[in-house]
Amino acid sequence: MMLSRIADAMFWIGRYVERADQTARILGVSLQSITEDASLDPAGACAGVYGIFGITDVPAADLTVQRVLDRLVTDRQSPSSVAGALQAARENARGVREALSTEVWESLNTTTLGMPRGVRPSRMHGAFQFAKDRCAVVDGLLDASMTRDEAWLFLRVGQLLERVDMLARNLQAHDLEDSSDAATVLLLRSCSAHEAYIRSYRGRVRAARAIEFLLLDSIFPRSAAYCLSEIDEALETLAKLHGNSFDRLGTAEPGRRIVGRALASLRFRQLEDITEDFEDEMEQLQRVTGAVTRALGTTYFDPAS
Amino acid sequence: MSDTSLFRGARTGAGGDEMFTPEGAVRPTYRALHDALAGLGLEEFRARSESLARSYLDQGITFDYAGEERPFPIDAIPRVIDAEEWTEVSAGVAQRVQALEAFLDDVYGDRRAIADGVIPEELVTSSSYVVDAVRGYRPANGVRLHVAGIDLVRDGDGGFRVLEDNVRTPSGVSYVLSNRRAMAQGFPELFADRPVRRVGEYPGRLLAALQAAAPDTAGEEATVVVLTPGRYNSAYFEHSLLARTMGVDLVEASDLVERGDRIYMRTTAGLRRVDVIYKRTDDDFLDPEVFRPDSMLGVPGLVRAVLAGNVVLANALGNGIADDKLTYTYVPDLVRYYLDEEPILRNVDTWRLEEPDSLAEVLDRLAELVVKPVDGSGGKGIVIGPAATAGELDALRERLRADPRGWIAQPVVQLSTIPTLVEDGPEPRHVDLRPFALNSGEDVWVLPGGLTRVALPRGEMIVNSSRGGGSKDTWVLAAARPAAPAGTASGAGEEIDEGIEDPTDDSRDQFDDPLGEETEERASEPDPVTSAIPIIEADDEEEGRDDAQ
Repeated sequence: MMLSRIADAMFWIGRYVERADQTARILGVSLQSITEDASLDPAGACAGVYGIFGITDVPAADLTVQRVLDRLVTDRQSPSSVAGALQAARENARGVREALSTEVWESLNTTTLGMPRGVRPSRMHGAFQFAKDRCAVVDGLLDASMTRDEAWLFLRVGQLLERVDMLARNLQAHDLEDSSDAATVLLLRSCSAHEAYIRSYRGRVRAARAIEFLLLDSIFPRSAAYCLSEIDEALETLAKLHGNSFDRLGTAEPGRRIVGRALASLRFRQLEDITEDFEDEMEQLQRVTGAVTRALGTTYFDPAS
Repeated sequence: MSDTSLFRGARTGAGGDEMFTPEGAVRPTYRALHDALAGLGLEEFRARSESLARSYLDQGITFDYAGEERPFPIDAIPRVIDAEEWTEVSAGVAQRVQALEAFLDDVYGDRRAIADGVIPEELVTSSSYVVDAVRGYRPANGVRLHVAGIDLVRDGDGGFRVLEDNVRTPSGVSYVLSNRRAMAQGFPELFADRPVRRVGEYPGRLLAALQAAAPDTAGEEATVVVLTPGRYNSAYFEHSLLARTMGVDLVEASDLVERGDRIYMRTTAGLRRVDVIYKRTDDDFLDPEVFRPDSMLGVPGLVRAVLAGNVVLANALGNGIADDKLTYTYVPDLVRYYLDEEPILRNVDTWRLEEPDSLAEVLDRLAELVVKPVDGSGGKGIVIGPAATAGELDALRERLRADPRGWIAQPVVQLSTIPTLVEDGPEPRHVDLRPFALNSGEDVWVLPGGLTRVALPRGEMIVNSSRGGGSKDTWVLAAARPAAPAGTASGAGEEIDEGIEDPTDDSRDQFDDPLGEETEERASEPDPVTSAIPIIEADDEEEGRDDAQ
């Protein structure tokens, strides 16, 4: 048992750090391809990048790589940017310092202080590398220095939910019609899954198989199925910590029901079935994040007193 | 010699420096430290000082300055206090705390000090700090003053005098703990030859004092929480550090709720009972039912729960009467009256302006005096005569005439100086000292040293961080060889067991556990099942050892 306010903050620290990491990964790949590929229409490509993050109706002036960097990397006011997400994680951490190990706090603090205030396209690689490295350090410290208590579990659930959410966004923005090697490799890379895929399947990438890998692989730690089953496990542990060990069906807690259904739905259907209305399926997957967040709120963050 | 180059700007020949005599000789207390620092040279010293500042920023050791989060400046030249002087200071602080404790008990009890003519009735009736709601209330173990900070300065003769008492929510102890850790990490060699007394047992002592204050209704292990106004409070870093090092929850008012005259905190498993609240919120904001109804930082019903004896606040409500600056002028009398002892620490001479003769004299000599509001803290409202303009003094005269009860006056105390690193190298800067005392009800324990605050601008006498002040690590040297305990004077009991700082012990977040005996006892009983299973096979272990060599 812990303070509800702190549980809530831990959950959001997990989400924000993961968001910063994923955003840096996705932008690193997509913006690099825009600057490299002279044949691409930069404005259209930039609009596509905004689309991944759910930003539509972008003014024409913002359709440049520089503006994407301003809005999605260095803007500290926006929780959707890399620096903004880190700032939000850090602010949450500042409110719950006693629940985090000192190392985790200091790492988050220095990461936020170290994020550049502005980035030029020519230097963006360094900024993405910095963000990814620092998030990895935070992750590593969380993993190595924190007791697997409630606080850690809430953080972990937040991290995994955000990961599924970002994956779903990324997949939703992907054009299934384009089964070219280049497009598939780009998708895998922006999900940080290219090397893992190559190692698992060897040789040429195939579009359908890549989708399958990202959604269903049971041992790739960034696949949707993997994350959902980890969330389920974490939620089960939380339920047990709260003395709900006689929940034999595992359905008493609404969050677990939502996660379990999403997992089953992905895992036990034909891939063709999922890809038939892919955009809608991915939309639904994103809704899981919101639904679980609300369910956690009712059960833990704001329980009826 | 490198010696002269580091401290070149620090030997000014002025009096009142703690490291150098007016003739430029190093005082014996500082000899070893001076030589070790001088051995580093200015360049190395400056480089390491900068890394101290950076580590404070990285660790988030900051305070809120005009809405901005700033690192708290730490100066790398420590202050040194020798064992003999400290014995007297700590006895004086403990004595003062005990007298103030007795005074509070009296004010909220039958007020016999007034009946006996020790203090005038108006002192109590005219103070805005007396909380009538808690008149007649007595905490479970009688303690109202769990944590005290007594501000000391050295006068012209070099002896310590009390400048003011802080018995509401004295802050700054977190900097004592972090300064020591930073110094041990950044300048380990300075500790080499000098046995410096440890400060790390503070959080454990604090927790013990808070648990000792728990109401009778509490279970075997009382639930203690630290109540903070929130992360935008200037001392938030401290609230968080104390909660973390005590291993208790840091709560905000919205985490607490009153039900049936009891206080609970909202947790992921519903409501959980709270027994002791170490409050870091001002009284005025604590409970909108009793104090400011507009307070967002309060817990409605908290005072009812306190009066019902179901929860204890530390420090108690209404302590402000004891650090009212007018009360301060009576503390020596209070020591004699309640404890039947002579005060060990003297006050700074003070005029009470409500006495007509004093007022006339002060108005006459305003340009050479320091005038302070009786209810101010953090250096707010202080006017230093010699530094004020004629216009400011005129305005002040008006305010003194209008509200003599609201002010006291003191001569300008020439605070002592200690060399402090500024732009061009170490130069003398003014310092004060805030020792911290904990009252567990059984005894009053004084943290060896305390917070040395230093005014960074040249000549500045106000050392508060809100005025751009910094701080120094404060070393109390251990006695060379404690004589046979039987031969020592009374009050020296705590001196027998002097913890010595070991800079190689860098366990970052672990402070000493004064209750260690208890846990040891528990650990000595091995678990019957697991103790039969060795973690590693004896054979394997042998092999491992060979590998390591």
